[in-house]
Amino acid sequence: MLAGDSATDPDVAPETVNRLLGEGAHVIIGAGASGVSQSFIQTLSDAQIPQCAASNTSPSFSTQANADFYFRTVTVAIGESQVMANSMASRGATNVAIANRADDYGASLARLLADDLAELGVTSQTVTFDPGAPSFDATVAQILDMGVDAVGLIAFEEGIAITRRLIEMGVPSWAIHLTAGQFDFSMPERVNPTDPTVVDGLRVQSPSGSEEFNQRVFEKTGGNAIYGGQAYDCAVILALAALTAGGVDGPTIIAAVPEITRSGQKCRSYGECAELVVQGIDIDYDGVSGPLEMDDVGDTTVGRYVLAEVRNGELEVIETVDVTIDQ
Amino acid sequence: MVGIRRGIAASIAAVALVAAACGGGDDSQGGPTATPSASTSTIEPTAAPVVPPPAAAPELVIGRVLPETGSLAASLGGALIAGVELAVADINAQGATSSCSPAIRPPIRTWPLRQ
Repeated sequence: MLAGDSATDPDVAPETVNRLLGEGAHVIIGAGASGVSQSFIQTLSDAQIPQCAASNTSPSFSTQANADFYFRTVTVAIGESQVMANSMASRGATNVAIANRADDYGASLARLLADDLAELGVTSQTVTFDPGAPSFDATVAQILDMGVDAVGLIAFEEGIAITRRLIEMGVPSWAIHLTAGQFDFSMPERVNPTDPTVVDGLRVQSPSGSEEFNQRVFEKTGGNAIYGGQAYDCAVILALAALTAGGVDGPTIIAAVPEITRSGQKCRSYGECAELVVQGIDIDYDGVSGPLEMDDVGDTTVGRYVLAEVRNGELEVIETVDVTIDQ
Repeated sequence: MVGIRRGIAASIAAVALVAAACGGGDDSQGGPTATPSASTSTIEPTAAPVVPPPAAAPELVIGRVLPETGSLAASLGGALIAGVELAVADINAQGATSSCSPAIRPPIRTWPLRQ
């Protein structure tokens, strides 16, 4: 494996991709953010290099022409919005403030969440914030002025500061629901190092691997498994596609990718699947991140999510759910 | 949307090629799995015996472009990178120990992380 840093920067990532291609990469896994993947997707399309993204949830990739060598192992944002909306509604939310970071990810997920809440009879209002802002006091003040009974916070690292401020300003922690970018088992004590129980009741969901696989990721990361299963499945699918295709050229691999995850004999590991492939048997790989069931445009249609809640100052997984995206 | 085209015909032909390699491969070859390409490259240790794949077997080089730094490094980077690393280890180990080893030996070439 050739390692490269996207730096979470659309100006840096294309340079990293060019380096990796120069060193002989046949396929690319990444980037982490949809906006960063967009910065080099055209390069990979032109070079006919397959690209697998484990954490790009922007709907844009499903319809753009230069995504012909692109696929992903995470469902589009609608999967997460459904889990989040259902959780908020189940706790009695009737009027929700949706606070989203000002980028493609934040805006698209905010729209989907508003739609899903509306389908459940829940009204919502949206406030957008600059994730690089030195202070989020103004954003929190806007939320308080809305008179809502729940807050859906679409953020990444900056969500810690926003959550802390919301609680300081009197928003009940059980009324706050976070998105996947904030799923971190150290989150409660990062919000309040002296008393993480002030976060009790807060919920967060995330695309995830199986619980067994997450434990393997925890051993490497010390407490964060977000999208780890999806990244694992990117590599396995690419390897199985190369094996199925009998080569490593991009067009051959990408042509083989969709069939790896659907309509064949079920298998659940690289070794098990490879044994079938060499026997000429069509396989249906069920990954550590769920059944996958990739469609013709490279979108995963069944995504695995975990829903977690802070209890006694610790984030506990309370439910694992596979979400099927309607085609 | 161009999307991914289903390559059924191409895949069937390729499977036959791989299957043939499985039946006719020489299982006694030795040597490293990976092919170092630069003086700084070394082979990552693997638990399984390292044997070069036959000519017909693909050896896939994965490049990963993930957030080691920047705003997503803390929230996403660690697990994303761990997931890929675990997969590469599993694929290499499972491929190397398979009963049909010539065709499904480790398809992923590995190098140490380069900064």
